Amino acid sequence: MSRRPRQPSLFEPVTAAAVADAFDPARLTQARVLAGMTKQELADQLGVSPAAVGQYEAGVIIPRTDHLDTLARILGVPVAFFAVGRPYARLDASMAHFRSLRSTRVGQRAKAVAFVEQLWELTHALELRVEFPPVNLPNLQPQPGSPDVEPETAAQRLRRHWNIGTGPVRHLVRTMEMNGIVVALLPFAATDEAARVDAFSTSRLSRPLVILTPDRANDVYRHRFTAAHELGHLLLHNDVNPGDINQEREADRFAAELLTPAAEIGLELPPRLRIPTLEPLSRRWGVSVASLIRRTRELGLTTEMSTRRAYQRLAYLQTTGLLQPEPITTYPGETPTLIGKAFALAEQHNSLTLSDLAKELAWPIRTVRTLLSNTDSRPTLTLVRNP
Amino acid sequence: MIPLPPELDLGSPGLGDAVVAELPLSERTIFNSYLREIRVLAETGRVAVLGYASTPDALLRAHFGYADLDGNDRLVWAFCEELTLAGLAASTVRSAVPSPRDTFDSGPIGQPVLRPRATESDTP
Repeated sequence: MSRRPRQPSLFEPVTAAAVADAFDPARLTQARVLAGMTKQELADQLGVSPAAVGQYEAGVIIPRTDHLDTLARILGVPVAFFAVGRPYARLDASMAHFRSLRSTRVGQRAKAVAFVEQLWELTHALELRVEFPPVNLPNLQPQPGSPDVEPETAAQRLRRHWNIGTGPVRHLVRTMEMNGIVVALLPFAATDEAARVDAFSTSRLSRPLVILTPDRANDVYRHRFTAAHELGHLLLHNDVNPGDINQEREADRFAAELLTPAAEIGLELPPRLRIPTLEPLSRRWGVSVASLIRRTRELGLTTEMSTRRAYQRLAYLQTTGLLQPEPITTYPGETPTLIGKAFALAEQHNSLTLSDLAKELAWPIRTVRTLLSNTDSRPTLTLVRNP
Repeated sequence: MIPLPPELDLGSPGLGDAVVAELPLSERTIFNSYLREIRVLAETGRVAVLGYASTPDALLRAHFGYADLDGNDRLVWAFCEELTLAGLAASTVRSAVPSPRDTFDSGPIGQPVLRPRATESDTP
């Protein structure tokens, strides 16, 4: 089949013809997954059969140059995105932990994994220019033949390793970043099904990555617990087993002990579960009132019946709006900054611009901006028709 | 128009002198250096003064006014009024200063240490 000569675009220096010679099938899959499309949906829009899309992604055939241009337009990426030659962290859903896994579908998980891959690519590009803090996590892997470390023990050892001391864990997300963990707050659109995945993390790459999605509940206490839960996975579960209820429970136990150590919170929890008494404790320890109720029960300080009544009273107060969630962004210590600061430093010392970075990664600038939590300061312009 | 100088009851006249006389020399030196600053300030004209009584735990009373300094280094109030401290329900206002107890959002927020790479050989 002969290829038609193609006029290069004024706005896109890399042509589809050049990309066709260096087509990477895995990039097409990544772009499709990130766009949340099935092969069937993509095939319909491209005007080919789903089998053809399958063959493109399997590397059996290479899309025609005009199809590459159309694919780029449909999937919202520059055509250069489909080319080989960029560092690529290939993960699959069995290599990452997902919170709320049981309510997520395969496509949502694949999309979440593709976001982790993108975050790694961005981190890698920045790490070429800026030295990040070294990863500083205790080694909790048991010796061969020894039993696994209990989640509570792991949390206590991490507190000692990071010199947290007694009392609440202050500025958890910032502490994670200072210890070399890349954290990103990814604001999925409310309609985006991937937003049903609360958080995901992986330790399979050169640097541990955690992505938190705040949309389901913009609540700093839940956000902290989720971050601590993912930290538990990073420390305890090298052998990822997505959906394993035991691993999820262990990560919850780790988070509860990290944020509210039994030896300390046990002395402060009131004998009677009253919301006005729990609320100041919640604000001190940075955990939700619901979490404190659960902790009181876990530590055997109250009965099942009292716990149930306390949950009911809490639900009533939340429904009536008397107890409002505290938004994450009002707590700077719980908002990630590592990636944004690394970019600012690269901008300052290497004259790196958003546009350069987008070109290097072959991403649309808006994607770079989103992952950097870099808000667009440009005014929104609207075309106005003359009456 | 500034109202006539009102009376501000600050205790027995001359009480301050006795207290100052009891201070150790080092503290009296500090006190006198403050006094010199106040004299310089008072030469510029009438000065707005916020006077308050407090303990480490609470603000007890506060007065606001305009005053001059007389020849005996005493404040002569041109106008003075007591500020109302009541009516601020502590439970409805978030404190501007960190709680004396450790809270999850108290204390300085650390920053990750980042270093720009100088050369390409410095890359991982």
